[in-house]
Amino acid sequence: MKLKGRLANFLVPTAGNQWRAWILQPRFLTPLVIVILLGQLFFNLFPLVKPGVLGYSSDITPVKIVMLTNRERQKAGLEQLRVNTLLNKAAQAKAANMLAFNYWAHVSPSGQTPWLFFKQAGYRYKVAGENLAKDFTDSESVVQAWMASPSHRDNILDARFRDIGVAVVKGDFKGVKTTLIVQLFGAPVAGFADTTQPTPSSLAKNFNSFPSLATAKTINPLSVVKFGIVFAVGLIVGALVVDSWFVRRYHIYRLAGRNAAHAGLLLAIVLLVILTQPGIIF
Amino acid sequence: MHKELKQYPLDFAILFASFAIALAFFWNLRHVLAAEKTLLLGLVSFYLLWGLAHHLYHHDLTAKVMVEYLSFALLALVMGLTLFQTV
Repeated sequence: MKLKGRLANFLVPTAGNQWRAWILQPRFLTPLVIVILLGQLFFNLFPLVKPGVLGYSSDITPVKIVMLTNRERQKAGLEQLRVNTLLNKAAQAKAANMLAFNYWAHVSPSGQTPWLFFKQAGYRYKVAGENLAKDFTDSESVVQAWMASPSHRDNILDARFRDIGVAVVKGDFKGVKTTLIVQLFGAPVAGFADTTQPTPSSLAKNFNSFPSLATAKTINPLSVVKFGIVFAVGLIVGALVVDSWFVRRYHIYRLAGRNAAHAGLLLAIVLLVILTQPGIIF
Repeated sequence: MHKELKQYPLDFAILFASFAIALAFFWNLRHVLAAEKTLLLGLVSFYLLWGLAHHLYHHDLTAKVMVEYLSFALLALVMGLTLFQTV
């Protein structure tokens, strides 16, 4: 078959493709799914082979996280949390541990709970909590995301907590440059005190001693994936529109799925792409 | 597509309303990976069920039609999961 005929069969309904463009048939959609899965595999493996190329740049500081957290508590009529140097150390140790062992969870693969880091830092607590975040671009988005999640908001607005510790650590996580944020809360046992008052100057002083890696220029993996999805959806929705036009123009009768339903599903995926912002919380 | 929408307005209103509800939930639960994945699965499952019910009701359900819906559902699912995997 000549190239022109093949192209016509690929894009528009003809007798040669049983009145359904190949691009809209499972014979094309299935390989496309395989291509996407291979692309995902490539995206997972590429950072391991070439670490540091992909990454999320961020402008997050522990001081801002503490200030925004306290602002939320203030709005709720709660007492402000005091920055605790031991909790800062515990948060730093947790973040370093996650980067070293390539995991992102409250409990490490070897079973270490967040409370172990409290203990190792020497903070003796009555009650304690932990919020995690990664891949965010700014401090405001992090606190907003935590506030939107009931379990994280409960930690921020828990009246029992007195102290806070925050670590913002930049590093390679599974080969992708990222920023991990660990927020720890606690209320010390009676007679135990190692706290600093939350004045802006003392806040900055408390966090200055913690190192973080310089942010290198990287390619944002989410932007690449978003572009790929929008391109693929655009191609298929375009084909659905052309198909509908041909069916109407040439009064083609056939048994097929509803183009409007397929287009609606794919456009919902595009809206998901638009709504999805970098950053996840745990 | 316009003809389909005019021909089955109620069916499409149900489908698009469910998409809108799923997207509204998604907006509220963004940044929580497990919730995002569950919503995506729900959205795709509803689309498949809608396709099955719609064609059954209109007496034009064939294996070929169902395979077509399955292909689009699989494509949407893989795209969504790839997106969430990258976040």
